Amino acid sequence: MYAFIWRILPGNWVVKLILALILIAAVVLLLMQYVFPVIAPYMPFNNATVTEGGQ
Amino acid sequence: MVNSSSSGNEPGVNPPSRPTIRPAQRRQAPSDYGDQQLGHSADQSAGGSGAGGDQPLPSRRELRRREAEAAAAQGEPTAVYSDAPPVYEQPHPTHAQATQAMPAVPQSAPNAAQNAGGATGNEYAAAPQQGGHAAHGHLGEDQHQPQAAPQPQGRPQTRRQRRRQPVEKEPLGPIRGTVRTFGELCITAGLVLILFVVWQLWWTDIQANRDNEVLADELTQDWANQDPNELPDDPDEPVVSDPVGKNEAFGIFYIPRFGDDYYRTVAEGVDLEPVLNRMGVGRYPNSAMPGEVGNFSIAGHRVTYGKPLNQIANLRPGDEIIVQTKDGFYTYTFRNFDIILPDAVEVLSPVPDAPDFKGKDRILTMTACNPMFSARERYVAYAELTDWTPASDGAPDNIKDSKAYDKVSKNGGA
Repeated sequence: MYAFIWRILPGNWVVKLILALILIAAVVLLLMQYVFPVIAPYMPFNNATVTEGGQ
Repeated sequence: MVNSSSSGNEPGVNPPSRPTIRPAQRRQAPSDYGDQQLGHSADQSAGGSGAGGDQPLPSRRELRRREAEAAAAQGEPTAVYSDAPPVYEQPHPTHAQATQAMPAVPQSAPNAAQNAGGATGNEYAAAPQQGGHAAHGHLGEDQHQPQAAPQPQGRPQTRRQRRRQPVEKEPLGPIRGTVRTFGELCITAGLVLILFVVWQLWWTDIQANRDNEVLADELTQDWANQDPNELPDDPDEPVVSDPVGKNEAFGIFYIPRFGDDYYRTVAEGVDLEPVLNRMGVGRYPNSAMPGEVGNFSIAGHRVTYGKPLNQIANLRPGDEIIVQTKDGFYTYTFRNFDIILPDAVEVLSPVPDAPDFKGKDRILTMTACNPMFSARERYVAYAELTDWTPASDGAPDNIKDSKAYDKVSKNGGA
């Protein structure tokens, strides 16, 4: 998978490296901005309130 | 990739006999010869060490040289073989040069090429693994110019150079490819989980603290532009804050026990988003407002998202908790704590644990998760209003010189 990505990236290895780092940064940003906030409420340590239902 | 196609064709065009070879097929001849020799050569290489390919070479070369000489005597054109590394920039020599250079040229390259191209079973199986690429490169040239002759070179140097050639990677089969992709996905999943932990434990704190500072600044600027509520006749009776809309900030918490620079905004509502995750602590709806008789109840994260109540278990009786609003400063004094189950909502009633009574005290109740990183229990801290200072009188002594109040007042002007 990673070898395939590396192969389809254009340019020589310097360009490939820069593009790969940009790709990684984009994935990290996507996860931290949109994915993690959605799944965080299901984690067991984020409940601070007392409610009738117990959660 | 160019070489693989060319070498792949070879087994199909193997000429059956030598005398009839045409120039285009000439390079195929040694394989036939090698196959005939396979019997005794294989024995020799198997008996030898890792360099077993060396042993049969002199005799083969000698044979080939004799054969070439005989062919030259008959006037036939001769083929040229070499295991020298490819020299791509080299201009192709003429036919005459090739013929002259021929006797000194070693001849293992075609075997290497055919081996890498799928013709297994000849005795040079060890050589192509090091020189397969070189042989391919040379073979590609040979197809277009069969007479091309590389420079004759000494054998030790040639072998060393051949060893330096990179191994050409073959594409993975479906099973190995699937296994490798699966492994890569597993590694990726692990990295994503690590990233989630980093985000949850580190990045949410940074984000929430930054949001909190901005919010506190906005709040104090708003207060500066508003008139405070009218003071009651009795100077000891605190002004009760006006209720605010859901998810709106209305106050700032200072808890000196949590640090000299500790302050967090308090907003209406206890939803994770946006209040608890980004606006500090949250007030339970329908509980009392600061200064009001009853139970002013708040909830806050103990870990992650700025962890406003991280040190709630460090509170000692007598510690002061100051709540600043538009109207002034409400000083609550910590009294006791409790650890309860998550559904024990009676702690939020005006008289905690006694929902049937109306109560006459001004109580502050703070809830957070307990133990840390668990939702099993809740930690509750109770405090009681002990002092109140109108906004016009400035900050009370207990926070006047603190870093937190300095920062908030400097930014906002309240």
